[in-house]
Amino acid sequence: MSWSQAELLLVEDNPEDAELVLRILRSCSLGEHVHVVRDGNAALDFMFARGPYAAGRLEDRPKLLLLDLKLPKVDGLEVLRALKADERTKRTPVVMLTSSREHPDLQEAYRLGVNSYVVKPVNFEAFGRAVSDIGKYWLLLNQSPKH
Amino acid sequence: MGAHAFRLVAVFCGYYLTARLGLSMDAEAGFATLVWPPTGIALAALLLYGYRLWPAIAAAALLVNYQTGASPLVACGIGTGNTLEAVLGAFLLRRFVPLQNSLERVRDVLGLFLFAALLSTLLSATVGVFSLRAGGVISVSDAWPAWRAWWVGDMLGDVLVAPLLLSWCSPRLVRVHPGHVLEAVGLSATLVLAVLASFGGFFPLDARKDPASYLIFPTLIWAALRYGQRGATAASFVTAVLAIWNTWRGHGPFALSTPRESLFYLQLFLGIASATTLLLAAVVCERVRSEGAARESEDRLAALFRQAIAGIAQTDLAGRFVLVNQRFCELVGRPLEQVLRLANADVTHPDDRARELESFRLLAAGGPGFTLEKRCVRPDGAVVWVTSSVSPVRDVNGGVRFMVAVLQDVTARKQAEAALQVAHDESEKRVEERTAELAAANAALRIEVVERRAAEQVAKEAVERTETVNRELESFSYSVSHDLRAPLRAIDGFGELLSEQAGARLDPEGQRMLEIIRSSTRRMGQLIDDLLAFSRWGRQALTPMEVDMDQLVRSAFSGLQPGARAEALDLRIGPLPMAWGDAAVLRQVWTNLLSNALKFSRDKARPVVEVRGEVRDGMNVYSVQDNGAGFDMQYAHKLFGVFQRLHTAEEFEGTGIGLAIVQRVARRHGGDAWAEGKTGDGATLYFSLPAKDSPKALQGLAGGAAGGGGDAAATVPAAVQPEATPRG
Repeated sequence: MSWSQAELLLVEDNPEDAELVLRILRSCSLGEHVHVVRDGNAALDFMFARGPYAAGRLEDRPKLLLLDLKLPKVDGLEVLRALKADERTKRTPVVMLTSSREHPDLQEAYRLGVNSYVVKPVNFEAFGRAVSDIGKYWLLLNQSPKH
Repeated sequence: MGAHAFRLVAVFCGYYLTARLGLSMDAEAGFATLVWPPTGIALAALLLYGYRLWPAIAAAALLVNYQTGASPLVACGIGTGNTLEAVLGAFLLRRFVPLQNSLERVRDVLGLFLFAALLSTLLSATVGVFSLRAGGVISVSDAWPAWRAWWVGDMLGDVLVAPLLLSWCSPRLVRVHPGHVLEAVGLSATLVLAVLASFGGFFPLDARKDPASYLIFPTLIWAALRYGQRGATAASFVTAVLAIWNTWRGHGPFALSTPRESLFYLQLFLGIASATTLLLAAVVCERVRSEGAARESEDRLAALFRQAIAGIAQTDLAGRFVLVNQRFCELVGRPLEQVLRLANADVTHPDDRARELESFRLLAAGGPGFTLEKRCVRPDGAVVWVTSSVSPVRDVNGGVRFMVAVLQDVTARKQAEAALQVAHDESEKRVEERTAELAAANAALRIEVVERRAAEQVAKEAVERTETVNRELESFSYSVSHDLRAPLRAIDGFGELLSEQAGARLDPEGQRMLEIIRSSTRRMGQLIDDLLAFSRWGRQALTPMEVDMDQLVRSAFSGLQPGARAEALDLRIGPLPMAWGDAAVLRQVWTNLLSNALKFSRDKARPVVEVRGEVRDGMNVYSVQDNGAGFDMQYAHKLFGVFQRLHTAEEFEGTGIGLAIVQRVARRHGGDAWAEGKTGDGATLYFSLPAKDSPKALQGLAGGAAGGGGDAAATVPAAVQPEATPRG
């Protein structure tokens, strides 16, 4: 899977969660163009086509970012702040996926311009429903401006 | 007018008769006589009764001279001269002496001699003789003897007759001696005898050889010394009358060839004798008068001395008391005779002696008087404060003869001063004490301020620690919710996947066990969520306000999941008192209680939930009663424990966190929560909140200052908040 093919960037440090998300997306035919990175730094490199992803073109950035809140190196809120502060990336929809119900994160995320904020249910059925709904909505239903 | 007329007549008569007498004895050319009492009568009359009597004098003189044979013109001239003589004499005496008629002063007598006897008579004699010559009565050669006789005669009238009348007709100012009748008689007899002895012709005396005429002097002096001016004038007059009469008859040492010659020298002699006697009397009178004045002054001073309020003491130069008054004796507390044996130092307080002695020394060395305050000591030891004013009394050479001290009792003043000083000291002491108290209070205050600052620091640190704890708690909660939930999700997720993919290969027992794993996982997730909720509600910042509980209950009820049997529910909400607390948190309380009641009464055919409220002992007590499953009261204390349940999960779902949250919230508001119930007969859950004005009510958060959810001061963390004693 090349960089340019990625329609969705999943930023998730927990491999089990990442696998579950991928399985759910695949189950609803949205898993073909998903790229997974394990930390915030890699997410920023990917989005700004730098470092390992320097060969990529900014025009081919993914349509959606699924961003875990708690990440190694650069955490989810910092990634969000960097993306929303940059003219090139601020229009990319970012959906925050988190295990935390704690309010300060929610407030801060919206303040930084997150497009959606979803608490991952422990219940797999509910989790699966949530992830598939997100994928369908943002990738299929929602119209984003051209880059 | 009557008195004036009488005086006019009396003066006229006296003048006329004595004039006739004088003229009968001897007259130079019938007019110039050596014996001429009218001059004295005229002068005395004007001096005694005023110038208004001059017409009587003029008339009498005119008449006498006319009768004597002068032409009317000459008589007018002589009369005018005689009248002017009296007026001039009176005028000069009044103007220049001024005369006191009693003649008791030396100046009066000398004035009479000079102005009247010597000067005014010159006028009369000159005018008279000029008139006689002009009228052709006398020749030029007779003019000198006539003038001389006239002058001497008039002079003697002023020296003998005028003093007699003046002294006896005016008030006597000086009573020389309280004369005894016998003495007066003796004096009179002696006088007559002496005059007769000298002039009576009983002895063959020659004035040029025998000084017999001086025999009259002792009696004249006697009269002057003992009877003053009246005695002197009377004695002189009697002497003169007797001497003149005897001499005129040709007797005595002055009897010469002719009466005129005899009388001339006699007149000179009598004039001198009378003048001497009058002067002597005046001197005597003056001395007596000054003695009287001195005695009066002395009496006055003595009275002052006796009756003075001040103590007065006269001391000699050694300080010994010579004379003291009664008050002084009282001051020093000793009888008079004892004081007079003592000296000043004996009555002075030992501590004041040196000071006083020094002052005395300066005074003796020529210094002025001094005043000092000192203490006198009485024999009984009592101390009297006095001001002592000491002045020296000096002799004519300026040396100090003795000293006079005037003492005033100032004990009362001193005591008042002392009292004042004590009061002053006392007030100063009080001021000092008060200042000290204030200083102490100030110091205490400072300490308190320091302590308070320290306490504030402690509180601040506590708040900071609390914040730290809160942050840690948040971090912990985050970790719990994030990190504990992730594995659970994986367990559940992969369990589901396993079930999907390999479910067919598992036997029913395997599938049941897989299902247990998944349900346990979900339950674990629920517990974690509840625990986080409990922590959150306990940590939530409280913003107290007035809360309409009726409205809040309905709002909470409508927020509950509408159950299938909601329409069957009989929900009764009684009138509820307004509450004072955080509306959002209290809403959660109602939600928990209502859902609790609905849950346990759902099996009833007709569930009844009744919400009530009342005010009890300053607390608003709310309750939710249901007719559900109820509980055994012996487990009532477990009802509010975290994850404590009285029912199995099979009977009623739930983790047992709802009532724990209710109790925690109620306690955070200063109230409590408790329950009553009976198994199978429903339960009543109560919670209480302090009324707004209760001291237990939430304080410090009022006014909306703690509006923000993250406000540290308003945040009372569950972990560090002192828990109320658990019920039961």
